[in-house]
Amino acid sequence: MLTDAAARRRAFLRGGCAALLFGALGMLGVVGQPRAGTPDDAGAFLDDLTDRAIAQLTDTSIPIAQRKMRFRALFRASFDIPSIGRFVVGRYWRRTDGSVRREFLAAFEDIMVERFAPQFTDYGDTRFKIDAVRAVKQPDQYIVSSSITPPGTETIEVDWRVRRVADGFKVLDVVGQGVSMAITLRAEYAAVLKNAGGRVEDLIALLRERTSVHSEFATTGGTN
Amino acid sequence: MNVLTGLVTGNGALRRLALALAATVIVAGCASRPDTGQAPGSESAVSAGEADLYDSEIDDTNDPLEIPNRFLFAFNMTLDVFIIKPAAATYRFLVPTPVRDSLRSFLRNLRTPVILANDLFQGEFERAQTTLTRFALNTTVGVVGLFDVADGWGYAFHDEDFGQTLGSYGIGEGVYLVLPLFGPSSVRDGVGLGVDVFLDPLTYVASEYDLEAEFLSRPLAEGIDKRSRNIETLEDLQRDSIDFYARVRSLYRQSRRNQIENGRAAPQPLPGLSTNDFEYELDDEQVGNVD
Repeated sequence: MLTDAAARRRAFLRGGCAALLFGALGMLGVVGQPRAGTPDDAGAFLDDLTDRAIAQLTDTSIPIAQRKMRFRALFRASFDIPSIGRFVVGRYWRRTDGSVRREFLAAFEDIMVERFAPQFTDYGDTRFKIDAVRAVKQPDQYIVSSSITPPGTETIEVDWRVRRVADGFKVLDVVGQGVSMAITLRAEYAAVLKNAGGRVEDLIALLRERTSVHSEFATTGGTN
Repeated sequence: MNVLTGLVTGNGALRRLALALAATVIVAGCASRPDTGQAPGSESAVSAGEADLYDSEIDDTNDPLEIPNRFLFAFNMTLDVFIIKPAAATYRFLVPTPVRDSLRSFLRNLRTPVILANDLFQGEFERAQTTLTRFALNTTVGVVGLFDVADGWGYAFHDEDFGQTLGSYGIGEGVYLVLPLFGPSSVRDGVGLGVDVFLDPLTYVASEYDLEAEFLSRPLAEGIDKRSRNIETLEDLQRDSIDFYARVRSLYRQSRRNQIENGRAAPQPLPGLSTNDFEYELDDEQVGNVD
């Protein structure tokens, strides 16, 4: 009698536990379901971006000038250049007027193209793996953590800060082994701007000068 | 790592080092973190988001000694151009990769006591165990450390130093410093460098048996090995730089922050990045026809 009741109670408890467990799982399932613009999509965006970069930029039989164009197109489509540009100018942005701002963004884009377009030739056999994607405090922003293993070297951990835009995602920052590109450039440009009395025109001139030296280097076969 | 030690080695090397260390600590005590000099609200009529963007603590360069630092930086760069980089490039050209890897493994193995001590100081017992296991495996199976067999068995190398230990205790970096030969550092990391010399048993062996020259050769080899593995990286870093000193300063401070967190540092918040979107006309001609 007593054992019967005990058994019934145990069975009931077991059932209850199972129901609770399944309920919880169900809830998790609902929460974890991917919807448009969720972390899963941010990861997919980055996977796609790196695939395209490797497909379009690693082939050295294509002339460097054309690879630069491809890089520029990819860079514009996938990076939020205006936001990054404004961030790296920092406090001096507010005193700079519209035409100079635009000129800066163009110069900034140019130097990034010169700097990074030739870089991809070494990345042909690079392994790229997405480890985690998480939302951050800022609305619509995600950090995509990835491991990149270029052939013959050690794996580097790279975090991508991306934000959702109307038609997909854009990269805001790339953080390699804890070093943020946006913060580094901002620090460097701030030092230049401080010496130039905050004149963004001077910064633009320096960037232009550097870009042309770079461009010569790339076309005379340095990295080509 | 310990070039400085090598330079001051001689009779009574330890005593001199202690003096140097004491001097650094005194400097550390005096050099308080500088005020950024920004009067709050000096330029008014800025929204909260914008104020974040324009006056952020990430802009604090922590570098009141910038003038002497820049001088030493230029000195180091000159030394690099004329001596260190050519030596590193020659070494890489002449010595086959497996031999260079063996030398690095050997040097890393010698560093075990310093890494282990710092693992323990930080309470990182799992990492300390990795360090010990690596030492046991590589010294025996790996033939006195020439082959990093432990890496293949899941015990990857990690470095530690006393600067990181201090950082893990929450001690701030002090002001930014550029040390001759060593390059970017800080008061905290400079002190750490000195402490690591004391933590290293080989320091005592060397001063006991008059092996100063041998003791000097180790940091030299470490330096050349490290440089030989960074030739392209540094060139790339420098190529689009318009103020290399400022760039390296920022890189150093960010990467130390990450090292202190053992590579798990949370990304720093980027104030104002991607708020208030605005129009930007892109010049389509530059893109051309892509595919």
